[in-house]
Amino acid sequence: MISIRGIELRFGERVLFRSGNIDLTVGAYPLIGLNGTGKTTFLRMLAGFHKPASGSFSVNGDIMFQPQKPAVFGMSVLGNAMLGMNIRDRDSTLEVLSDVGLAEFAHAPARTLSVGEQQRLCLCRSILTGGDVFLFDEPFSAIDLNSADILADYLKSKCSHALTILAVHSLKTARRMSEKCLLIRQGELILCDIDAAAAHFIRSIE
Amino acid sequence: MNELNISYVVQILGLTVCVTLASTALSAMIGLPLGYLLSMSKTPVLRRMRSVISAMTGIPPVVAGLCIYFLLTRNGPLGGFRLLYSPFAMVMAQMVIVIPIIAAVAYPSFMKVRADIHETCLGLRLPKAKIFRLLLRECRTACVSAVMTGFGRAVSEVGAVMLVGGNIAGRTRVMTTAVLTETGRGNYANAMLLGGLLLTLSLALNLFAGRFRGEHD
Repeated sequence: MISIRGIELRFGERVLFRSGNIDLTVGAYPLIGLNGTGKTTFLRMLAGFHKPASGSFSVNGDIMFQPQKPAVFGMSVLGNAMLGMNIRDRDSTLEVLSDVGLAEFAHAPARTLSVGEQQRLCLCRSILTGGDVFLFDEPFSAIDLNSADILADYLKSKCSHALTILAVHSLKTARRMSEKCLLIRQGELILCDIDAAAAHFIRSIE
Repeated sequence: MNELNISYVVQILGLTVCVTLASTALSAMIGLPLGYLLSMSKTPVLRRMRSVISAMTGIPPVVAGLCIYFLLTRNGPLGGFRLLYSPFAMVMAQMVIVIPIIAAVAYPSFMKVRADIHETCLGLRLPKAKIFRLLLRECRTACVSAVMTGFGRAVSEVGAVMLVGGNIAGRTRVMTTAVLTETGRGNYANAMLLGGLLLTLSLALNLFAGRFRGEHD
C-alpha cells in the first residue's frame, strides 16, 4: 500500500534522511527516531504536504492523517468526533467516545477538555473518519503512559484492516502495536524489528 | 439658542443609522472575502496587495469623499445617475474608507486559523466547502471585530459624507455633520446633545455586536 523508492528527505537545506526501497502492507508500523530526525516531515510527505528532494513514493488508498497538533474545533465533543464521517452515525460515535473514556463529555464544548482528553478526542475522530492508510504524528504525546498503552491496543484493534504508521517515543508502546518498526537513525530510514531499534537506542545512550 | 425639534433629531438619527449600517454591511460583504483572499497564500502579488490594503486603512476621509465626488459629479463617469448629494453617495464614500479596514483587520486572523486547521481538515479528507465553513466559524470573533471596527469608523466619519452628501437638512444631514452645523451656529448645548446621542448609538450597537463576538461554545 505504501511503496518508497530511495527517497532523500530535506527540510529546507537540511538533509533529514535517505532511504532504500521499502514496501509496507496492512499492519501497524511505529515510527521511531530522536527529535529532529524527520518523523513529522516523513509523515507529512506521505500525507502529501511535503515533497522528497529525490526518489519517489506511492500511497494506495484513502489516507487519514492526524498532524502533531490537530485542531479541535469550537463545537461539542460529539460534533468534533463526527467531523470526518461521510454519514454521521451518533451511536457508533458515542461507542468510540465511550471506549476512550470521553462518553460523559460527549455534549460538552470540546475546548473545555484537557490537552490529553483533546488528544483522545482527535484519536476518536481519526478512527471514525476511517481510511486505508492511517498516519498519526505522536498521537499519545499528552497522554499518560498507562493510558497510552491501552489506547495503543485499542488503535491496533480498530485499524487492523489498514496500514497504520504512528510516530511514537515510547518503545514499550511501539512494541504493543507491532514487532516491526520504521526507524530513523544516522540519517537513514529503515524497516527493522523493534528489538533492533531498542538496541540502537541503548547504544546511542551509551 | 434654538431648541432641537424631536422630528428633526429622529430624522437625522434614522438617516445616520441607515447610511452607516448600509455602508458597513456592504463593506463587510466585500471586505471579508477580500480578507480571506489576502490570507490565501504567500505569492508576491498577494503580499503587495496586503501592503496596499493596509496602507488604505489610513486613507483620509476627505480624499475618499473626493474620489466619489469626481465619480458622481455631473461630468463624472456616473454623473448621469445624479447621485451626488444623496444618501447613496454617502454610503459609497464610507465604503471606500471601511472596506480596507475590514479586510486588514480580518486577514491576519484568517491566516492564523487557516494555518491551525488546514492540515487537520485535509487529513480528515473534508471537502473544500466544509473547510471554508469551519474557517468562518473559527474566525467568527475576528469577523465581528473587523466589522465593528469598520462600523466605528463609518459612524464617526464626517469629511467624506460632508463632501458628497452636502449636509442638506432633511436629506443628507447625519449626526456628525449636524454636530458640526450646531457648533458652527454657536448652539453648543444642541451639539453636545447630538454628540451624546451619537455616542450612545455607537455604544449600543457595539454592545449588541458583543453578543456575537464572544465564544458561545
